[in-house]
Amino acid sequence: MLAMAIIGGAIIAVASSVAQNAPAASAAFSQCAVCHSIDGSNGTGPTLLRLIGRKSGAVPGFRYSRAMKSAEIIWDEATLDRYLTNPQELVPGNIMPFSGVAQAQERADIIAYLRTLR
Amino acid sequence: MAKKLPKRSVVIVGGGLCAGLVARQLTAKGIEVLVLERGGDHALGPEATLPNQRDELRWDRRQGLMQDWGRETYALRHSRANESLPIRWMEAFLPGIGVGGAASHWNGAAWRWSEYDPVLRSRYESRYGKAAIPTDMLLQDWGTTYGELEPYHDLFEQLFGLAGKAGNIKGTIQPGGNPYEAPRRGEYPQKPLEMSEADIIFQQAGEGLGFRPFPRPAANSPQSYVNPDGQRLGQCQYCGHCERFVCEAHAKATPDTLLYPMLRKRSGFEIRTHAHVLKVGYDRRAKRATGVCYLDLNSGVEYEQPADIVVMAAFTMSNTRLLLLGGIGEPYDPATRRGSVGKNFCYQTTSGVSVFFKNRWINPFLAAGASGTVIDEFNNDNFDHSALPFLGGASISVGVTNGRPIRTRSTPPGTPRWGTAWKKATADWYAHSFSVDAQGSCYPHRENFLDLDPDYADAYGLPLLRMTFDFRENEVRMSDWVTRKAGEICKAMSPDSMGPVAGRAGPFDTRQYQTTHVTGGTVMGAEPTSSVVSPHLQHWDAENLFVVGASVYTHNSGYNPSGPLAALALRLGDDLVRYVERPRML
Repeated sequence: MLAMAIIGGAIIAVASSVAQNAPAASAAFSQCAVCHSIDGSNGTGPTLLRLIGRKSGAVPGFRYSRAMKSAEIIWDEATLDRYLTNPQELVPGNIMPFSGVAQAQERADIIAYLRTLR
Repeated sequence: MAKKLPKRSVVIVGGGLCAGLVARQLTAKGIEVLVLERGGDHALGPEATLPNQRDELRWDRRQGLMQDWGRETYALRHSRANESLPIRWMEAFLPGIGVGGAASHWNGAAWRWSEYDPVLRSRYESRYGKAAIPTDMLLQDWGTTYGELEPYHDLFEQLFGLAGKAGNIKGTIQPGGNPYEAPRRGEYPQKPLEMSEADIIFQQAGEGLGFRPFPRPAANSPQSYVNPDGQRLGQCQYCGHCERFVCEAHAKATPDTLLYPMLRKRSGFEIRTHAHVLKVGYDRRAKRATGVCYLDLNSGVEYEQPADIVVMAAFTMSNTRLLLLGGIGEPYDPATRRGSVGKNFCYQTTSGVSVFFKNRWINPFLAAGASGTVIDEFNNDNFDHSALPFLGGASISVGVTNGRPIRTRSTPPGTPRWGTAWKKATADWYAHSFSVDAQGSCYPHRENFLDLDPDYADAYGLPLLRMTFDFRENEVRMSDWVTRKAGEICKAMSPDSMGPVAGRAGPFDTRQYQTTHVTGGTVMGAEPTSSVVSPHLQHWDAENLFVVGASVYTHNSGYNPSGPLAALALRLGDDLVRYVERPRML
């Protein structure tokens, strides 16, 4: 419960600061952009357009790992924060070649940016 | 009968690093470019996606991304007195197939060469006298200078997001960088990669001996990076599947990540994959290239593709072979020393010393391709050769990389080569060993050259390229000397045990991988009698034919060859813009 509260708190704090800081959000996202499109097309990774609220492993046409297909996660601020902290901890065996984002602020920036992709 | 296609403005043979860079410059100015690539596209294939990307057996041991030796190989003899034989399976060097070429499966070591490399003959003559260069060592200047190439080095490094530490900014030596570095205009675009335990051990030992170690310039991106074209690199994950692999994280700067996806969106750019060029057409009377003949490997149909301008940007060996097959220029004859095509064929002179530490964790599986620490004190002519019986030298480095389970089995001297004791030693030492490597220069020798094999042909009935090559006295002496230097550094590390200290010696063995750095065959120079192309890479006997790649190098240096090759390709792109505006000898 404590962890959730802290995560929730961080998100709220950041969501308001991000509203004034869109460049930081898109800069933090640039580390994702090499594999993930924001225009609905799949590349090395699935598109991140309309990710928030989506079920894991659900973009049509993208070939997911078995781990991601069976993860049964709804992508929201909390699950994304956990996933971005350490992708292999939340979804062991997933095949995204990325070790995670250590800074909480940077994760919040990425998530804030993902919220704008509707 | 080949089917004739409509004429194109610029046709480039080979879809690798050079072609991508030339095409970038040309299409930016609205000039149409057609690239013909013999392989397919790696993007999103099993080689570029997990989990298959990590298949060491498929991509590394079985060479899944390399030239198919059953279709086209090379013949070898060690001297003119021997008979040549075709190489059925090549390990020594690895030409790539597919979009991106060998720069798709490279490790990412991206050097600028020494400032004096393009004027090496003049340098040695002025420092040691004309008699210092043996008569059978065919060193010659490039006809261009480092200064002319520097802006293009800088552009390439920005485009490929190189990670490193400058050692010489505009003549001022920088602490932590290579003090022997050619002067550069500024820092590298990115900071160096993380240091490994082996780097730290080597750095301490090197500094203790008075050397100045520095991080190897690398095209493995330590952070996500956006280049001046808006193309992106991901962050290196230190996965250890770099050389011989496509990077699925797009963290290795390659033409297939940074150039071709962008070029494909430009109007006027076209790449045809599975287009295997058989011949460059040549009109002897007009002294012009007419175009190329290629085989569509998907349909089996042969096409004739006429062109205003032909650019040869294939692998070193293919550039030379296609000129020989087309009868363009005079083949080199070592007996008379006449002719230039096939001359100055060089390789690289490498050696290494293994070290073993019981109590240090090296973790060789955790590595970027080109991360490493280097000393340059004994490279090329960075030291005084006047009392030494050789010319040239080597960079000495550690680079714990590609420590995959099949490939990396380092055991101390005296370990049995099979059985329980070998298994135990492998398990005991895997995480506790590395090697100190010498990557040495290789200078042109009168008797090292390329020509067409009189007996053996490829799958299409065309003569194989024949290497007449061996490590000659100069290289053997150089390697012996620099390997001893590497051994002294190893001793200074106080390892628990050490492998043998032995330099490279002949005979050249194609079963052992060294590097993919074969150079020469279509060398550049200011004199038409001793070179194939001009300093602007324009063929002396065909004004509209250009050759680019390591095949234009007159010697090989103690560095990886990709940096100058990329700079030459970018400059050629700009030269071709001028040529298209007003065709002439540049």
